[in-house]
Amino acid sequence: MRSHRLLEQLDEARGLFQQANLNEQHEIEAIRTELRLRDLFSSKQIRPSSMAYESIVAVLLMQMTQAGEKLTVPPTIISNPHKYSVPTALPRDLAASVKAGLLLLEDSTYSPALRLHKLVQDTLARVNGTKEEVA
Amino acid sequence: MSVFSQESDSVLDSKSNNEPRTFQQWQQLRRSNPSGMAGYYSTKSQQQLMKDRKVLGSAWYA
Repeated sequence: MRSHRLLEQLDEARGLFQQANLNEQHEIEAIRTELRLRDLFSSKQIRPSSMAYESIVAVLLMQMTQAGEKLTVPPTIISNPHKYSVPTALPRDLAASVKAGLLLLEDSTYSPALRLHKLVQDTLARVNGTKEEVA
Repeated sequence: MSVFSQESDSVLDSKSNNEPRTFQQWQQLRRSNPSGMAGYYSTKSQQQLMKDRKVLGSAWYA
């Protein structure tokens, strides 16, 4: 089932988040903040579990831009993410990413838009001390 | 004499409450004080962090 690839991608992102070194933690925190600024992660109450989820999504989007990966999320998972061990907030945040122009959606497949690529590149450049612009 | 310590990493510290913190300052707080009511991952800190990011713009990363 194609959704297995989605679960693999989430597991990979979770693993990278959990093993991140100090500099990578900074990069994840910066991307997470920039995504919040663009109306992802709209829950008002912040809990440790939601922070981990936000960080995993940040890594996932970074991976999509750097590896050129796409994310296929069948309608059944969009409707009932909990039944497939997918975070319940993911469909909402993918929709917010499309609305912000960060992801493109076609036939249940999300692909990184140029705007996401630029956001990630510029943010990492800032965090790592170079002088490119952040939107 | 105050019963409270005058030194704190808290973002609720009145001394530094009016000045927005940079990204690096927030990351120092994350390492030194990740949890608790005034810790980096608290709702209040995260809300203040977003305010600081908006106020400072791209200078937040300076």
